[in-house]
This record gives sequence, structure tokens and C-alpha cells, in this order.
Amino acid sequence: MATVAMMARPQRWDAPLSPDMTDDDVADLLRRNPIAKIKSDKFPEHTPLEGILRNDTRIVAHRAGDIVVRSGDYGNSAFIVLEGRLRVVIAPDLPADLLGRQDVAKKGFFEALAQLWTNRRVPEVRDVRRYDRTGVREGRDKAQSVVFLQDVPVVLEKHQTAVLAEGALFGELAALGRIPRTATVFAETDAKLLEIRWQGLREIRKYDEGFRRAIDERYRENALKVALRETPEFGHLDEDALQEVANSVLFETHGSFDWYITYQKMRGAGKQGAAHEPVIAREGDYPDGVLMVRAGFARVSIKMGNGDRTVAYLGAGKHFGMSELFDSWRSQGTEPLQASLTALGYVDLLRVPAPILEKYVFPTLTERPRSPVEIARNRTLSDDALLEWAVDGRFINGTKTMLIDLERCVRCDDCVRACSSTHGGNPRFIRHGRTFDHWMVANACMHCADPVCMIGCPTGAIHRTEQGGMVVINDATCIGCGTCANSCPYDNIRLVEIRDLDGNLLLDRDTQRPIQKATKCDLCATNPGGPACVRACPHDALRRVDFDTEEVFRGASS
Amino acid sequence: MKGFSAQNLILWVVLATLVALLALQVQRSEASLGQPTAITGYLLIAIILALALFNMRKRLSMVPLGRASTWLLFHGMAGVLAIAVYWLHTGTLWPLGLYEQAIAVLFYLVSVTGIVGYVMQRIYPARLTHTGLEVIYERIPAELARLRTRAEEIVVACTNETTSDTLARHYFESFAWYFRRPRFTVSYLFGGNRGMHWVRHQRITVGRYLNDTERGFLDELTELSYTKTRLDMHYAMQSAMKAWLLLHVPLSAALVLLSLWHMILVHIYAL
Amino acid sequence: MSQKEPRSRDSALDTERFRHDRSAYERPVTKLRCGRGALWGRPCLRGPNADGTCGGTSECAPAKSPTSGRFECRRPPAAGGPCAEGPLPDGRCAHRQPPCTPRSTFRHTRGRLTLFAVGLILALIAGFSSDVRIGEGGVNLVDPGPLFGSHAGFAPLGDCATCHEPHGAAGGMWLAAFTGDADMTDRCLSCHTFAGNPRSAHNETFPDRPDMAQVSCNTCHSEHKGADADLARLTDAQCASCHLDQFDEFPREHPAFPEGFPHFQEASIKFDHASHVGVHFSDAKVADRAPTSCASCHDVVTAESAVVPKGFAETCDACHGTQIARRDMVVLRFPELESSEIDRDAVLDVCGPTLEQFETLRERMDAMESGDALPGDEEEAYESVSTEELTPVASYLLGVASDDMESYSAPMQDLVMGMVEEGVAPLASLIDEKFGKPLASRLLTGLNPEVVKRLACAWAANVEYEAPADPEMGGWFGEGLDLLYRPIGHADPVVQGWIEASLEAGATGDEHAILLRDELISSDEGPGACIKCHAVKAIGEDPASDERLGVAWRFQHDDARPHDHYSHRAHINLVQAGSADMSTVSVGCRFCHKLDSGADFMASFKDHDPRTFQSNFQGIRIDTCAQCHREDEVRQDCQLCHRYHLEATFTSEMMGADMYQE
Repeated sequence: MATVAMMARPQRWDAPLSPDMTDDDVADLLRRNPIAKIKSDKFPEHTPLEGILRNDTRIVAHRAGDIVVRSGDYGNSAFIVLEGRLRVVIAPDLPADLLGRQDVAKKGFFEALAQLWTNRRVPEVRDVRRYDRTGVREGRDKAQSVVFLQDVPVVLEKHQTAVLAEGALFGELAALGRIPRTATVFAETDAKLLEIRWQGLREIRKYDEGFRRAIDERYRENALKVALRETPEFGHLDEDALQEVANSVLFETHGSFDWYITYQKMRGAGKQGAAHEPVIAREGDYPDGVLMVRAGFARVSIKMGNGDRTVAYLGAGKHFGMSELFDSWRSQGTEPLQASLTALGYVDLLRVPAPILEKYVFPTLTERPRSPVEIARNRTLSDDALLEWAVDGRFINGTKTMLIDLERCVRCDDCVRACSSTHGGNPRFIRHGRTFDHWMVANACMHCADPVCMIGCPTGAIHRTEQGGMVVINDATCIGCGTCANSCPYDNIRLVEIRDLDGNLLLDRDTQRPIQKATKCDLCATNPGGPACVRACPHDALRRVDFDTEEVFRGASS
Repeated sequence: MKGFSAQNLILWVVLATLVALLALQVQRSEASLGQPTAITGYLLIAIILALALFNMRKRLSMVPLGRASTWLLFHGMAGVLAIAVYWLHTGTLWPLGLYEQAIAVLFYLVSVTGIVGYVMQRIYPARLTHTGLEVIYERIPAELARLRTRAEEIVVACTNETTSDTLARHYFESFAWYFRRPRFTVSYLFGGNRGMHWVRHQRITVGRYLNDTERGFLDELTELSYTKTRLDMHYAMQSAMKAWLLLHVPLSAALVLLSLWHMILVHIYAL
Repeated sequence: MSQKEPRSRDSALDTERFRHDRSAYERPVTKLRCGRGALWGRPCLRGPNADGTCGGTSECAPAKSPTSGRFECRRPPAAGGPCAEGPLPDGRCAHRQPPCTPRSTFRHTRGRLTLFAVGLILALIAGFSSDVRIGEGGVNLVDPGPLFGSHAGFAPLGDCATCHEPHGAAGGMWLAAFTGDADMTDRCLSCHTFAGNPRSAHNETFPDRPDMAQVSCNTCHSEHKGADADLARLTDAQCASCHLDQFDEFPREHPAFPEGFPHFQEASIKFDHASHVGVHFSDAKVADRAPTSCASCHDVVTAESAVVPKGFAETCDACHGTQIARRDMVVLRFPELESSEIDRDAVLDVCGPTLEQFETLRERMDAMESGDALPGDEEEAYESVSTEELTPVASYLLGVASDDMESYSAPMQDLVMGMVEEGVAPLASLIDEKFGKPLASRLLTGLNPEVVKRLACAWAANVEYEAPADPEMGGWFGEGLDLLYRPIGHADPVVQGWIEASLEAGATGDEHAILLRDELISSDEGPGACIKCHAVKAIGEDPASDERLGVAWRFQHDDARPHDHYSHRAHINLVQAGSADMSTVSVGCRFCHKLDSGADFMASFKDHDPRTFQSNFQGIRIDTCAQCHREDEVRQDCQLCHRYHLEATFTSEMMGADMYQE
């Protein structure tokens, strides 16, 4: 990397979603609804609609019974039904095992105790007899493997479903809005779908008004009001007022959906900090509305010296610009923004216009909202150094970050031993990681608020449990493609070669290569009592922290 | 047990009160011609067995049995209590009788190793952090090998580039020994930094015979050696924090057995 | 390493090493680690195999690719991914190295050391459990400490079974011993013994407390505390464990000494200290003889719980010695008789004529010679020469009242006649018979039969006997109508014998014996003045009903309080008792023993009841002792003055040989 060489600048469509899209496919698509309704002349020269269709979409064939999307999964694609009939499950949702997820059944006390002598010395032993029940069909490319329902009529009988016919668009909320899939969709008959990845979706939405309106309408209807009702600012409003608010709110997304890829590259090149992040609002500009973060993280920073000082970070539910707008309203003047707002990875915002605030919010406030900059004035650079580092390392994403106090840790590895004792003798984290002052963030899954590892899992083996909200991997359905391991920006997922009960490596019949499975910390989901590592540390050095609530890292955030 | 939090202080005060009450009760029992040694003996063996349970608890983190840090706090307090009860039981620092003396030796050794271990575990972690380096103990040989390879590369590169073997010869006389394995362990255990001093000294020793280019390589080598110094510190202190248990645990196993035997003998002969 | 290895200088700091494809899980419960790493070489990636063999002999395990049919390198990405060379044609890895010897990890070594320690201890226990001795001196490994010096000898060569029954016994015995009680009291009792029940408190019986718990020797005494240990030492608090009256400071809390302590026992000598010290000793007449200090009479050299007065000869004799011989004992007195039945011829035969008879004879002979008329053979009326009564001795011996002339006339004359003819014998046999014991040889010691005969002859002839001289050296003598005994000196055995005999006879209730007894033990008039000084006291359990009296001739130690112990010896020099003038009160014996001038000392002897004794001395109060015996000064512990055991001694078996083994 240090050498200087000539190379062509990377292009947007250097890596198409599928190399198999032909011009004929594109032409065919342009004739179908709803694509036919899109006005292609609105698209700029450098991103023509045909280009989008060719590079950001692909045609996916499903057999009857295949599960297309699972409720709760994170996804980065939307789908349009081209042929066939699909069903979306309304109620009750399909059981976990049908979806290819594992049943998180906690062991009883004595079963957990029995691990003391039943754990194996040989690493990563699996009882392959457990694997046979799953319905996983592997594709030619591992990433195209899919879970299928073995008995569709029974499912139709037991669960209330709705039909998705030709031309139906679904999955765009998850792709654009970074929320989990709201429902499970499976193919009732053999079907052909057009899968549009989020990049293409964003472009289409950007340039085609009809599409945008359609998507936004659906979002406003289905998700926005619910989200607004959960905020403290608008939660008390009646239905009409809420409708008015919902109608006037603007949506914005900043940063890239798969920010982890660019993030890793940038970090490798040493480019970190607000200067390299997409700017949402600039210090000194005049705000026209408050920005409310709906998903993702944003950095609040002010210029200091030759750099930018992070004052706070905002996660879901936090807002930016409230104090400046309030002061403007009070003084009937215009107050500029005291700080800049940049996107940490991917951030989804709502912009609530000032008139709405003046009508519904400000009159109800009893005291003036303080801006994080004001709070930061009383803090020194040393006070916030830890915060800077954590934000740069994107550790703010974690809800269960493993934090080790190096001044207490005696390096005894009792935590690793405890972890391995709850996982059949196999540890699920490594006691090394980035350090700052006397803190170490160890390589253990942080169970992120924004779990980028889950994006792209072909079988949904990596999923979020309903009970605890922890991110776990279903060993049975994992096909070892490595998508999650490569996605994780913190290197917290590892692939292991599994062995049978006699200790021999299990080899794939076809390729003669060892079968691998993805593994990571699962917060001891199947063990009683919660994470064993925390229990095991004799010096209280190890904690699983949520950065949002951890005082040490809050900095000036309120 | 880290830091004197108010909660820990209260526990220590409670412990001290218990010891005082026990001593008082022993005194009263002696005054009324009771057999306080029987009571203190049973108490002592119960405490010792409770102390030994800590080893089991460390293997049982998979079931919710309370935090290991709480157990360690009680282990330490029970250890201090055991010393006090031991002296109440024997009434003397050094008992008569060969078995009793053997138990005394074991008990004192276990206590001393425990205290030394505790002190180490309070002092070393901060020192390890202050090296600015973090390395897992089992990976130290690999890291060392990597450093050694790199050092040899530097020396070879220097020789190739400058056609002078001054540095290389000095390397074989000094740095080769240094990079072969962790050095100056004892110094690091006691908070010294002999390694840095040694490296600096080597630099001065050979520097005067080198030209600027060679000195550039020497600087690289020196930097590498400083890194190795920090690695050695980790080796020294992490080894110590693992090795002390090699004394503490077997000795306490022996102590438990011998104490049980003592109890049996006392019952047969004297009670 | 391949080119993928970052070339930063500080590879140990490089964060690229966290990458999931570079850094694999660490498994900290493994038993073995790579031997190359243990020798500070570069450790292999795979580590030792589960069976303990080296796992890093080759960098990868090449596998045949099903598609191409050739062997492919399968080196994991963490090691650099597939190598450039690829496997050898026969399928072996091209990068191989000799195997290492895997070494144990710290944890595994710790486990093995623990097992070793456990095994070692178990072996030592099993090997040296019980009856094994070391060396010639015989140190038994089970020995918890040396025995007390005197005890060490009877368990020679470590033979603990002397006291500990389960020692060296079979397992069943051990089990029984484990659950049972080890009471070794019986072993102790084979040498030690006491005047009471060894298992009861203070070896005494407490009739009011039949429920009082029994104790064993172990309760207070523990052995194995070293050769110089003080087995008998107990603390005050331990004494207080039984006594309800508890205290821990001598001066303030110890119960007050009883009234009159320690002068409870009636003195055996009626020596009035008050009158002597106060009056007599300062009298100028005796200035040359009077003692100047208490030590003049009391022997401080052998002082222990009592400072015993020296004998009569060294103490009282100087002043009182002459008084003894002044009081004679009248044994027999020729009483008044109405008529005489004595055979005068027999008397004449034995004794010869009296002077009167001789005069009469001479007159007759003269008359016969001169032809005068013979004086008339008038039967003169008998006129007793004596007008006296019987002595109490005679009264008792003859069993008649002293004034009953009619009753005593005949026996007395028989006795006299017997004395005429046989000398002492009749008297002796009368004594033996009457007293019921062969006392005559004692009571009549030194009685010259010749004197008896002459006395009897005189009385039989109705004349008074004229003694040749006054017996200056004492002893038996006759004079006039009396057979007397003059005490020779102090402790005259005859007088003493008479007194004791009369006391014993008096106990029978015989009225004459009582009269005899009373005469002999009269303080003012008794013979030898014995009872002037020696006290007579009732010796029965209940003086009110039991009439027996006795005389305490010698100094009697006060044994009434066997658990108390006071040693004068320790205090003598403190008060300069040996030299202090007895008239000063602040030093010497009078420091503690204060005269009670108001006490009616002598009167308390009159009723012969030892319980009404009034000592010359005021009781000693606790303050006196507490001047020194208190906290921070001299010892004030219980054991200083009190003894727990009742007369602790050794048994006779202790001296036997069966305690010792060959």
C-alpha cells in the first residue's frame, strides 16, 4: 500500500449484484410493472435506470416453500415479485425452527453443572446427528443457500397469511430504514423475484418521484407514526396532531448501508475522525428543523485546533439542534448550530421542521434544552479522550461490549475458561483487543445496536433472539460462508473447523475441505445465569457494558 | 478486594469484631475449664474447607453460584480469619509435636503464599498496563520469535547494505543472547527495569564504531529491543501471577489432608 | 512468514493481529503446549495433539482436491494461507520439521503437583500413623509434645499406650475411640491419690449437693505441654468457673475472712498472750527471763502454716518450771475410821512395833521389872489418828464415797492390810481392775514398795508416818497420812497418766470417777499444775451430750481447713519477725496478729467446749493481706493460698516395678 502505482479509479458498478443480468433481462424488466412506471428520463447520465437495473438488481428464482425473508432479520435488499405467488405471514409468526433458527432453551442447573465433566478436550466437536432436521438447501454459491419450509399447506393452515402477487414490492423498509424485517415471506409456488439491493433502491427513490412517494407513503403509514408515538416529544399528541406531524416530517439517510466495509478500509488507512465522515450538519449553519436519529449513530463535534473534538454521539431517539431552535424561538432571532453532525457509519434521520416544533413541542418544555456543547465546556480533553477513542472505534454500537479494566485484570484467563466451559470446551472470545489507557475492548461480540453482521446471512443462521435481543448463531443452519465474520468491523466472529464425536475433522464430501461454522459470543444464551465471563472474573475486571448507559464513556452526552 | 470501598471496610470491621468476640469466648471458655481447642479446631477446619471450596468455584462458572470476585473477597477474609483462629487454636506461634509442626509449616506457607499472591495481584496489573503493550501469555513465545526474526533481518540488512559486520558481530555477542529468551526476569518482578538499561548500554557500547547508516539500523534494533523489554516484563509478571499458585494450591491440598488427619488423631487420643 | 505479515517494526503492538482470520481462539484448559515454544523457538500453530504427540510436524495436512485430483496445500489463513510450493507429490506437506516434546502448561503442572502433594501426605500418614518411632530416643510421630518431666519416664521409647489405649491398636478400636470419650483419669489414679473421691470437686463430698458434677483429671490438667510445663497451674478465672461467688480481684472482692480468722481452734495451752505480753513480761522481777520477741518462743526457722512454739523447756520453764513440783498429787490418804479391824498381830509381825507400842512395851517391861502393877489392859477405845476423808483416787478405786465411813471402812482397811503384807501389789491390782486396763505400771511408776509398806504399817498402827526427809527431787513419798506423788518436772508421765486415766474413767459416767477426774483436772489445784496450762476439752462430736474429755498435751496443728495454705516462712523476714521486739505493734508478728485485750481467753476454757474458744488475738482481716497482695503488686491468685486437692499424695503402687517395662 505504501508504493505508488497507477490504477483506475474504482467505479460504482465495478461489482454488480449479479453478473448474470443481461440486457434482455433489463429490457424485460422495463416492460413490467411497477418498473415500467418509473420515468427513466429523470435519472442522470452517470446513473441511468438501465444501469441500476443491470448492476444493482438480480433475478432470483425460488422453489415452492422457500423462505425469502424472515421476520427479524436484517436485510439490505427489497424484492419485486415477477412471477408466482408469495405469502407474507401475518399471525402468528412461524416458529423459530421452521425459520431455521434455534430454540434458545436454557439448560437447567444440573445440566449446566454436568458440563464440568462432559465438555470435551478436542476442540469444536459437534454431534452431527442434530443437523439432519434442518431444511437447508445449499446453492451453487454458498451465499445463495436458502431455508425452505417442508410442509407449506400445514403452515398455511396454522398461520394467517396474505398473498403477494405479481408486481408486489416488499422488503424496502428494512433495506432503506435499517429496521429488521417485519414479517416472514415465503414462496407458495415456484416464483421469480427481482432483488434490488439498497444502493439501487436509494437511487430509484432519489430520482423517481412516484417511487419515492410510494415508499414514503408506506413508511409514513406503517412505521413513522409508531416511531413518533414512542418519542417523548410527540408521544402525548392526539391522532390529528400526530398525523400532521407525520405528514410534515422529512426522511434522510446518511452514510452507507454497509458502512463496515468502508470503515475497515478507512481504519486500515488511518483515516478516522469527523473530517472523514459524511457531514449532515455543519457548525455555524442555521438549522431549519431538529434532527432526530431513528437508527444508526451520528457524531456531534466542534472544531478544536487542527482537528475536531467529539462532544457527544447520538443514537436512536436522540435529537440534534433542539437548543439552538429553542433559543431562536425564544429570542425571535436565528441561532446558528453550535456543533457539526457527521454520520458514524449509517444513520437514518427524521427532520422535524421548526414550525412543527414551535407549535407542538416548545410550548410544553418547562426548561431550556441544553446542547451537548454547553455541557462539554466544563470537561477537559482528558475527560473525553476515552469517548473520542470509543467513537472512532465504533464501540458505541455495542450493547454488551466486553470491557476489561487492565489495572484489575491479572491475566488469569478465568473468563476464557468460563466461556469455554459453557460452550462444550470451546471459548467464544479472545482476551485481546484494542486498548485505551487502562481499558481493553476484548474481541467478544458486542451484540451491537446496529448488527451489521446479520446483513447478508443467506440462511438467517445469525439472528437476534426474541427474548434477550442478543445476536446468536444457529449452529445447525450456519453454512460457514464467512459473510458475518468478514462483515464484523470488530473481528468478533470466527470461523472454526468442526470435528465429529471421535475428534476427526469433518470434511465436506464434495470439496474435501473442512466444514466450518461461524462462532461468537452468545451471552451464554443457553446457560442459566447470564454471561459466565462476568461471573468468573475474580477481580471484577470484566464487564459487559452498554456504551449508551456507561458513565465512563458518555462524555458530554445527556 | 481492590480498593478500600466503604462496603469492604464494613466487612473488615465485621471480621475484626468476630475475631475479637471469638477470642473473648475462647478466653472465657478456658476460664471455665471448657475445651475451647475443640471449638476453635472445628471452626478452623470448617474455614479451611470453605477456603478450599474457592478452587471448586473457579471451575463452576457455568452455573450461577455468585460472582468469583465475591468469592475471592470472602476467600481473603476467611484466610485472615483462619490465621487468627489458628493462633487461637494453638495458643502459640510454634506448636510442639511433629504432626502439629508439619501442619504449622504448611499453614504458614499457604498463608504466606496467599498473601504474597494477593499483593502481586494488586501491584502487577497496573505495571503490565503501563508497559503500553498487551500480550496473551501463551503467545509470548510466538511474539518473541517474531521479534527475534525481525532483529536478525535488521542485522542482515545492515550487513548487506553497509558491507560492515561490526553490528552483526556485536549482535552475536550481545543481542543474540538477549533475544534468545526473556531476560532480567527478577528485575522486572521487583519493579526494576534492568532491560532498558542494558539495551541503552549496548547502544552506547557499539555506537562509536558505526557510521550513520549503521547507526540507523542500530536505532531500529534498539527500538525492537525496547519492545522486547516490555514483552519480557509481561513474561516476568504474568509468569509470577501464574506460578505462585503452583505453591499455594498443592500446599493447601496437603494442609487440608493433614488437618483432617489431625482431627482424627485428636478425637482418638484426646477427646 | 508470508508477505501478508505486516512489516511494521513493532509487531507486538500491531492491531492487525486481532483479525478473525489471523488470531484463533486460545484454549486455556489444555494440558500441553508446543515444545518449541517452551524452548523459546517459534511455536507451531496447531499445538500438541490430544494424545500428547507433537502436532506441528508439518504446517498443513494436504488433501486431495476432488476436482483436480491433485494434492492441495491446506494451510490455514492464520498461518498465511496456502503456501506457494504446495505439497509433495506423495501428499506430504513440503514444510515439515522434526517433532517437539510437548511440555505441560502451568495449569496442568499445578494439577500434577497437587496430586503429588496429596499422594505424599497420604503416604506419610499411612506410613507414620501410629506406632512408629524414630531414632533411639524414641520420638513417636504422633506425639503432640513432650510430657512433663516426671511423667516422661513411664512412657519410655514412645510407648504411648501407657495412657492412650487406642495407640497401636486395630482399626476397630480406633473407630470406637473416635466416637467415644477418652477419660484417662484411671491412669492418673494409678500413681496419684487423694484423701477423698478423686472425681469429686476438691475431693470432698457435699451432702447438700448430691447432683454436683464429677470431673476427670483432664478437666484441669493437660499433658504434652513440654517437660517444664506447670501442670498444676490454673488461673483464677478457672477456679471461678465452678464457684458461684465470682470475683477477680483479691482485695476488694474476695469474701471477707471469717470473724476471728485464723484463730478458730482452741489452743491446747492456756497461754494468755494478752496478760503475758501486756503485764507479766514487763514485770521487773522477771526481766532477766522474760522473752523479748515472739521468736523467742515461736520457732521461726521451721515456720510454715504455723509457727510452732518451742517446747516447755525453752519457753515456759524459766518462769513456771518451779510451779510444777509445788503441786503434789495425793493418791491415798488414811481416812478416819470408826473402828479398826486390822489384825494388829499381823501388822506387828510385818511391820514391827510402832514407837508407841514400843513405849508401851517398855513400860510394861519396866513395870514388870519393878513389880508395879501392870497397866491395865484396858481396851482403849479406837481413836483414829486421821480425821480425813478418802482421797478421790481411793474413793474411785474402792468405789465408795469419800465421806461414807461405813462403806469405806472395811475396804480401806483391807487395802491397808494388803499394802502391809504385799506392798504395792494390792494397789496395783486395784488400779488395773478398776480402770479396766493394765495402767498400774504407768500410774505407779517409781513407787517404792518399801515406802508403801512403811506407810501402811504406820496407818495400820493408827499412827502417822514420818517421812525421813522431804523429797526434793520429786517422786513418790509418804508423809503423815498421805501417799503422795510429787511431779518430777514438766511432762511428768505419772501425773499425766493419772490425768488421762481419770479422763477416760470419767467418760464412763461413774460418779467417783468424775470426782476424781475433776480433782485432777482442776486448773488451780490439780497436781503438777498440768491443767493450769494444758487445756481440757470435750472430744466427742457433740459436747452437749458426749461427756468425754481429753487433754491436748502437744501443739496441735489446725487441720480444719485443709484447702487453705498459708506459709509464714515467706512472710517472716518481711515483718522482721525474727528480731522484732514484741512490744512494738508495727513490726514483727504483731503486724498481723493483734492482741485482743478484751477477749476473755481463760474463761473460755472452763466449759471444756472447744467451740466457745475466745482467742487472745483479733481476727486477721483481709486488709492486712491486701496491703501487699493486690493487683500489680504481689501475687493474688487463688492458688497462692488455696489448695484444690485434699491431701494429694502418691499411691503405694507407684513405687512398684510394674509401671516400668523392660
